[in-house]
Amino acid sequence: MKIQYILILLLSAVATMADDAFQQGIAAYENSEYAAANSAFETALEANETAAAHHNRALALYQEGKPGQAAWHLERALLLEPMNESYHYKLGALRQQLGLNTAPPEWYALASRALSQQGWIILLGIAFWSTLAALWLPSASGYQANLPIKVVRAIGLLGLLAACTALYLNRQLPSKGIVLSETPATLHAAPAAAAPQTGLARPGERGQQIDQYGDYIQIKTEGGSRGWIRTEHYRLILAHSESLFSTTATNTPL
Amino acid sequence: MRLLSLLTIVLIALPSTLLAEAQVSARFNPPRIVMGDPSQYIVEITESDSSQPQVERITALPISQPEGLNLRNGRTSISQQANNINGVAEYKVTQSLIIEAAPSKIGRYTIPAYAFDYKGERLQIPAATLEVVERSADAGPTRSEQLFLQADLPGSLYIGQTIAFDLKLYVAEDVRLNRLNSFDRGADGFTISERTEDFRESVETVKGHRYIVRSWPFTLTPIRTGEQELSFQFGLTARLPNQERSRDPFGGSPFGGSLLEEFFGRTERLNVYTDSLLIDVQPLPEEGKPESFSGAIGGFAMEVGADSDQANQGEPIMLSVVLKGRGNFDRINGPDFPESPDWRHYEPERKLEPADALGLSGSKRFDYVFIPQRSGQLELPETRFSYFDPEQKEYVELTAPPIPIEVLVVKSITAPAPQIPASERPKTDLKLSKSLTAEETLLTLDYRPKPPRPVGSAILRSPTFIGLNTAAGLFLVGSAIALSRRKRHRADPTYPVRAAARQSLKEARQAYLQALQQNDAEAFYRHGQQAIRHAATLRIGRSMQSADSVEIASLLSGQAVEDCCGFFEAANAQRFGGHSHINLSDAQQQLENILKAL
Repeated sequence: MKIQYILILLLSAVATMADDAFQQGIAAYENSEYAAANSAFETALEANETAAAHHNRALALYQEGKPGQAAWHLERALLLEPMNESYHYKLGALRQQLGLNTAPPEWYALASRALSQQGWIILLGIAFWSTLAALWLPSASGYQANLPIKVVRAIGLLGLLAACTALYLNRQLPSKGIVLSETPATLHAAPAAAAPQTGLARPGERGQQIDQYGDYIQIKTEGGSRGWIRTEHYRLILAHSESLFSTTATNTPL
Repeated sequence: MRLLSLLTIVLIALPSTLLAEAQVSARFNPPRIVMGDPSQYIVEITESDSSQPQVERITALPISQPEGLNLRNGRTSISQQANNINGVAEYKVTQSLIIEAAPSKIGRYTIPAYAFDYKGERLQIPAATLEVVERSADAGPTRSEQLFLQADLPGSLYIGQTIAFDLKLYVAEDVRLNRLNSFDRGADGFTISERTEDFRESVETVKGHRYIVRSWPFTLTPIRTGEQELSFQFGLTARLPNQERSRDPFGGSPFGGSLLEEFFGRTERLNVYTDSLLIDVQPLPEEGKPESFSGAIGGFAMEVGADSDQANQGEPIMLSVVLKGRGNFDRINGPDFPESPDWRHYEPERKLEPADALGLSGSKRFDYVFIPQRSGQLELPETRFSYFDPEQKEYVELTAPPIPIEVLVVKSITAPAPQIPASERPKTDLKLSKSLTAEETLLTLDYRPKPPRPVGSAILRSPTFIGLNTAAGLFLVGSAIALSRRKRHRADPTYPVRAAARQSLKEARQAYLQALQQNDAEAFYRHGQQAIRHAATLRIGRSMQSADSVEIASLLSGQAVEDCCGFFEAANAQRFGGHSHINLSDAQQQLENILKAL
């Protein structure tokens, strides 16, 4: 009883702290104190991660002239709230300003974000077991499947199809990241600063991590460039603890 | 409603389609030619009807080809005609199948009549005859002498070998080439470069005739061994001199065609082919093939160098390999280097610098990045590259010795990110001072944080998720097994009898063991007999509760039969005779034997 009480007290204290930091961030931003706002939203995020805090921090970073980091926070905000039209619009505008592709995502890509990966996995599990039960149990018992069982089968198969498709479309999410540097970052042919340049990665550009060696990550950017970039210039959108197969990349705290 | 409309349209259209009348003809055009001139075999299917007939495109005909007549390059054309006489419309559609006929000798060639299926009907194609006569001494040049295509290719090549050749179109001086309509090639066993728009023009004399020759350069690489066929074809439009006029003794002119010839010449669409080109493609010899051989064929020289002889540990060294010469550069991937604990190396950057338009000669550079993994006096590995020389018919291996590199120790192997000078920075669209459109909207904060949804796939590692799924799986398997058993029991009518017998047998066994302990012979025999009957019921699935020893013995064999009879006799003796001194341990042994046998 005592432990429960302490736990509730602790959680409410954390929530209050996050809320306070969030409000402080808003106040600082409205006073054009963008560095203070950035710091306050960072504190709010450490206490309680919300899409709004990421979004607000992105705006503060943008005002500070850090568009790469702003793009990362907007991408992260959209991961937490994928259907927020305002976030989509702002990310599109920022990417346009950074000279990046601004084509809206395809409908199926948007649909695949209707649920989180976790949600799709749960749906996959439920659909799998219910479909298997609806297919197997009637045949095991020797009874013909009646209408409700057929409906369960159909819904289960649809759920399986939707969940598998969505998870397939989101399969690259764990290796997806953003270029954080404020100027175009050099991509090298090998994980060393003196290695020849193979291309450039623009601030805010999306990339897929391929490999890691030392302080370098090998990426392929959305523009098609491929090469090794310093770890502080690239950050995965998904945290390690959120991936099933966590990559070895080290993300520098922003 | 839409389905009904569709059905109505189909029902209206179907009879008119079926009623369309088809007429078939076959002929050679022209039916009489002099040797060397081409002719065409034409089959025409004409359908006429009061409504527009539907054409079924013909893709093949069962033609029996006469010996010595080569039929090739078939095509179809469709023409339509509509007449309206006194308000009655008549539609006529003609489908023509045109096949080029090339006789190889003088004579008469007849394609006999044959039948084929068209729109479900059997159509009869009449016979057609082509007469080929000898060329008279004063006749003008044949078509194949006026226009022909030639490719000078070797009779033998090695697989993977790349060669250059010219495809030459010979056009007689009195022929005016108007346009090249199409180009085609048949080369299943080769890869051939694309035809360039540019060509080289020259004048050549062949067998006393002057020709304007257009040449296109190509590269050819065999990809299959054995005898491989190769063919080229141009579709072209040309104005040919009138044959009658060309024989006119006054028509000729030392300066080319006369004005009359120009006027009376005819424009035709023609196809010009190369003769069948056969190349014997040989495999590369296995004997003497070096390990470093990776498919290079030709003649090459190699230059190897490193960009430095000293480096810090973790800093890359560039090893450049330049191959110069002539050969199949597009198939050369560069030398391979073995994995080494001293070095980490990466796939090379490749750069081809061709010295000719076809890329057969020039140089190809491979830049390898090597990163030293430890300090000390190291060596970049030996470079080996080998190629096959098709002229000498042997493999040649080029080697370059290891390059010594001094690798120094550094406290930190990571170097700071290079600062790109402002003058070298790429010009991008990054203009942060530029204001956004609808800036106020863009820079408005989100004042209402909502609880975020969970992200990522870490749930797959969650013990709760794994436990729930395992439980679901076990529950499903358990349910399936239980349902399956119930199904089996429902289907088996002896199951209730057997189940009851199994239970009763268990009880009877306990009862006779208890009687044995209490040395109650009567109860022992009574429960023992019950146990035997239950066991018999369990075995045959039919109630044996009233069975006597004979019936039960019929289920047994050997010693068990005697035991059964003995047990039942002893039981009867006990029951009716009241023997009180019986050795129950022997009886128990008998009983156990019987139950075991059942």
